[in-house]
Amino acid sequence: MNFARPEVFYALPLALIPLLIHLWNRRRFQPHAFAAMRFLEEAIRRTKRRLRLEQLLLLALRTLALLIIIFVLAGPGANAERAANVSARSEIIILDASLSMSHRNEDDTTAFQRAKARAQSSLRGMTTQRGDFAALILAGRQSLVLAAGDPAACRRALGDLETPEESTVHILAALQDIITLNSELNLTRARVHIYSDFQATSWHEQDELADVLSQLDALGFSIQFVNTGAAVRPNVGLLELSLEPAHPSGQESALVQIRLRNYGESETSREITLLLNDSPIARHTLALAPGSESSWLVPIVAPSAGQHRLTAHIPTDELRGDDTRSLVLVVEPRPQILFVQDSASQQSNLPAAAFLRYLGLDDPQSPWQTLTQSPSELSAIDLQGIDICILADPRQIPALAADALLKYMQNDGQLLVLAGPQLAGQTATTLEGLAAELALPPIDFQGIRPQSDGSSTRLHIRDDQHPALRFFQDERWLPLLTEVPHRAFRIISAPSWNSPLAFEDGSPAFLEFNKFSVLAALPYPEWNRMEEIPSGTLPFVHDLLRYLGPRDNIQRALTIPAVLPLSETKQSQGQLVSPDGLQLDWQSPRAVRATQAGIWRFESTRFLPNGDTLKQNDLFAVHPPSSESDLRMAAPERLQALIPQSSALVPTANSVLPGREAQLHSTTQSNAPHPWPWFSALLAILLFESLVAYRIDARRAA
Amino acid sequence: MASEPSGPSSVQAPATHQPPAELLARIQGLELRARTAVEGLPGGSHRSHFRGSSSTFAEHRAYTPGDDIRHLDWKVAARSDRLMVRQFEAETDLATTLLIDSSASMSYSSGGPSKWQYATWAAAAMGLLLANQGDRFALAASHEQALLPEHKGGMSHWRDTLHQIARQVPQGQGDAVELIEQAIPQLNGRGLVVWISDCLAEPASILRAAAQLRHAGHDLIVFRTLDPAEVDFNFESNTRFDDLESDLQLRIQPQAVRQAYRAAFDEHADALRVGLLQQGASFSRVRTDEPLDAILATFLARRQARLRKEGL
Repeated sequence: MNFARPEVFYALPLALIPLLIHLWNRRRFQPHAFAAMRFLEEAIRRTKRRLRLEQLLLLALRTLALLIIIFVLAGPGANAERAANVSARSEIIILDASLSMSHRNEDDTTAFQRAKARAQSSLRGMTTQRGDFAALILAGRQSLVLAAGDPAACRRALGDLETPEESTVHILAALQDIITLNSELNLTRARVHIYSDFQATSWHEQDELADVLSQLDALGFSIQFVNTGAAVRPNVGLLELSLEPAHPSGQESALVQIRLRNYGESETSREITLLLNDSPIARHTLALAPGSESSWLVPIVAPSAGQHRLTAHIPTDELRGDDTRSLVLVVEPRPQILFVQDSASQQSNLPAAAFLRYLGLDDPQSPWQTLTQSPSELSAIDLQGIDICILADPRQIPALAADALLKYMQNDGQLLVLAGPQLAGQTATTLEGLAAELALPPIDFQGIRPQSDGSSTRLHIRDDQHPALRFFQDERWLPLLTEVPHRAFRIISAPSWNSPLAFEDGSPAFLEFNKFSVLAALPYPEWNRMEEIPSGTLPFVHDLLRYLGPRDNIQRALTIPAVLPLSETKQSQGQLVSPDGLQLDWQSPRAVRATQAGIWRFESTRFLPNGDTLKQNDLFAVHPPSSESDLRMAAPERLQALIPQSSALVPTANSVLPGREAQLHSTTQSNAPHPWPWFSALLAILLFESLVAYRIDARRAA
Repeated sequence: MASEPSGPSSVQAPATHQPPAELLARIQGLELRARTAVEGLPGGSHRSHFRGSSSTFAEHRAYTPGDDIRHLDWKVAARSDRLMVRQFEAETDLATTLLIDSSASMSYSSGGPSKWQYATWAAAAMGLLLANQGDRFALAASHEQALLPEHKGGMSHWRDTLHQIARQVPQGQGDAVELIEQAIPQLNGRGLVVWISDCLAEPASILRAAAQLRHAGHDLIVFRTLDPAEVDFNFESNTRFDDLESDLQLRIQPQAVRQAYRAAFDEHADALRVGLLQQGASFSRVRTDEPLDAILATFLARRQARLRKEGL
């Protein structure tokens, strides 16, 4: 007979426990001086034989019960085919190390822990002396061959494995690694054990998987798919934490959106806690219907300028990795806008004050600081520190002012030209010269003219993903494009100018090249048909200004296993601190992948030309892939479709093969045959023992 | 469930062998009368086999020539025309021998008084009864004692006896029957022998000794003194029993042998009781957890009733 766990027989000496207890009890006799010894001797003489029989019977029953327990634990009859083949064997273990494998069962063990235990069982009894081969491949965000060759090394590596990464599983790469191993070591007829929860979202590369499995089949590998996932997999995942606007200015209102999804089959609720720099600022409980999503929108006021940690979490459940999500809240200082308009434009068109009022820029609560100036006085002020300079329909730009603007642009300034009728033919030469000095593609300001018939046209968006035009992604504001007629201008520009917004006749309405932008569709007051919009002005221009203003362009929200954009911080070296406090010295251009969810901190020191040092901290919010929250298992037929028909599949209790669907959800069964017959025998023996003991006690009591 | 005897017995008997005053008060009114008439000095309150000139009428019998005509009962002759002679009982004093088993087994106690204590209390109580009646008595408590003390009466002798008891310590593994066999040749005439022992010896040897006593014409009263643990054997935990009289040790689960022990005990007790009764001896089993006075009173009352029934 073969056993799944023959090492359990090391526990055979435990069967001596009843005997030892018996002997121990014999030692524990209380001394008592007694007189009527003759009757005792007579009683012993009469009962000696019976007592010895009783003791032997009880001893035998108890020892037998222990032997049966050891026997059952050893898993009799398991892996018969393995024992039948006493020659060298090769076992390759693939462990799914994705986040979903950290899902906990009712017995508080994770799918990964169960997979480890099953894998240990598969490697049991293998030795290098017999020529056995074992390999351990960890399939996380990438495939890692942790050990190959010595089974003992595999077992050690297996024992050292800890909680899976917070990433997806790359099962395809793991299978390809087997093919690579085979090319190097010639592992014909090896068995491949894939321990996974077979999460539907991970097993979707059907064609590629089928190809690799076919290759393995052709090479003579037998494959075992073992499901170690829980039978029931409820989970509530925190899928989104976002902020609108993404980079608010100090004291600006922003809207936090937190989105939860209930992947379970019963209604539940979760209390969400929102923390700013680790201090709770809001709590809310969301009810979640089965299989549904629900969001919580909470307004916050942006704190002081800088980078802040915004974290949302819900009480931990079976899958802990997706119960917390963080965001780096980058608060920009209020940008300075210089509004330049000459007196002629003010008289003939919109006065600066009115214009500013319409845009809401004169509001003290506005996210911008606004200055006004006439072109003639532009050279008299220091443009250093101005974030956006708006030239509103400039009739004339004096040479000194143009020089100042050129210098401003060369210092990375942002210029927005509001093209109006006053611009036509008056100062074009100056603007063209400015563009030429800035080496911009050709643009014909000569051609900036209102349409000859003075009629109006409507706008349409060419690039609906343009950050400055995200406002129109909300269907409520589409009437601004389709219903509001606008005075059209004709602008001639080179194709290399970006024109995400145009008039219906094709003329560009918004042009940009680097920091030079032209808005031909002037935001006249008649645009403002949306009285309900806060500040009562033109939100599109708000978005445009926010887009044009200084902004943090670094991607600070990353999904595992993204590369941390450390180079984008304009640092060449520094120290990286992971969410769990591990420190890593970084030097450009080393690429570091975010493998852990939470806030990563990058500390760097910049040496300024004047000898000063500037310490800078950059934060990155890393979160696990949302697909890992959905723990539903792939359909067996879908997995079956991957398996080549001729493949030598090894059936097991937890195999996900056809015909064994009834056992698919059994996650804790062992390789051993059903233990109930042995347990029944054990129960019978214990009952018999109890009956004998009861009879003995009853007779003694009588 | 019976309470388990507590701890090993105390081998040393307490020094206070003086019977409690209450005990003495209760038994002082009882008279110990021998079942059979014994020979002895006149003036005692026990009847003799010989018809004498005491004031206690015994019986009538037909006149035969040679009888003292002073003993003719004229009133009977007048009523019945038959000559009847009145016979009177000749009163004697009672020579009582108190034999106490002092083997080491008597020192056993499971928590209350030891068997030795209990036996000495009983002996003292009977000695006091006898002294108050003016009867002579002697007490022997050791088979190693070669000579039986002289039978004497009076309170001073009783006190001497108490002193003798106080000096005695139960020890040795001697056969209690040996004490009786030693005493028999030294007993002059017929008398009362009171034997206080746990009677753990073979019934046959005990009965043989009793038969010798009865053959010598002595009346025998046997008080079998036992500890409750010896009767009930209500031990619970595993116990190593150490013999008080030898080096024998037995490791036993008491529950396992309790039934057999009680059976062996009962068989022994039955053999003893039946054998003694068949020989005309009085036999009484007493437990050290029972009141001593009540046992003595019950025993004496039963004995008196038996004497009356026998018309003695």
